[in-house]
Amino acid sequence: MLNRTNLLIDIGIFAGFLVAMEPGLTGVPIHEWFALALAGATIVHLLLHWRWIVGVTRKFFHNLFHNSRLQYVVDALLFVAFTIAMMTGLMISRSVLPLLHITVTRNFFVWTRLHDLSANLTLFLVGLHFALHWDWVARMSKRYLVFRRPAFSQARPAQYDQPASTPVKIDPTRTGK
Amino acid sequence: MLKILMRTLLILLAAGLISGALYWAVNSSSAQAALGAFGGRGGRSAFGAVAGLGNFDRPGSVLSIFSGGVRGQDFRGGGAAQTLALTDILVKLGLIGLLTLVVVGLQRTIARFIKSRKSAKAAGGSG
Repeated sequence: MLNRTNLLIDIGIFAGFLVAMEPGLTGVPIHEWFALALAGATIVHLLLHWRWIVGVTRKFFHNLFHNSRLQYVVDALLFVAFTIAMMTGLMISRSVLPLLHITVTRNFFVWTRLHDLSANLTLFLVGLHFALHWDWVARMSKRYLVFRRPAFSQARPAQYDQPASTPVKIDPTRTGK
Repeated sequence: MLKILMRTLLILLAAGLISGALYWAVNSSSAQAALGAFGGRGGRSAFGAVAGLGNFDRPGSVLSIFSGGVRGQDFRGGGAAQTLALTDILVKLGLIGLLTLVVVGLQRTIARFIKSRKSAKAAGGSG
């Protein structure tokens, strides 16, 4: 059940991230609020995978060449890049921060450039994150998303499984004869 | 419940530390000088002037969520941005798919290589 929840949240975050990466699609105000919601969803994602984070952190230096170690490094970089994208996005905000009566005009061009850079880096790292967890994604998608038609013998009612040569017994009391 | 709250605070603290460090780096003059090496133009901006940003990037302009002023226009004031944005999303999806293909292919190749080396070692050891 938890795996299914994880999968659905992850699909939502992935789709949300792709939409948030395109301010031209939604307009800047929606882009900003959407990205903030995405940050909230990311926190939920981290909370749901907390055990994995703690487990790998503890044995990070034990096994040098391990797949989870690479995943951990990529995930940590992704967290940093995403945080920078969010923070720089807030610094150049035209909708969220003005609502709180905060305006930042210093180094506006630096924040804009950093926002672009970190967003592109985040996209690359999301791709890498997705690729490194591909086995889990494929397994869970097969289990929960792919509709599987039951096998023919299971779909048929049990009475049709009798061989054709077997005579069908008719209960005379039920036929009314 | 308290556990979840503490974990959330920990995540926010980590994000706050990263943001604080970046804010300091951008606003401190020495860090700005270092960043200026990336192509600063006349001290106007550490990363240099960003050309053609149009209405969106004019400091001081405020957009409300209901304004929708930028919708349908790209940052440079061009039209039909939504069509372009949809194409961009597809391109990004394609890139992620390609990256996944490469990484999964590499992982499988490495795993097969390690497995064959191990089996060769075992065969050598037994013979």
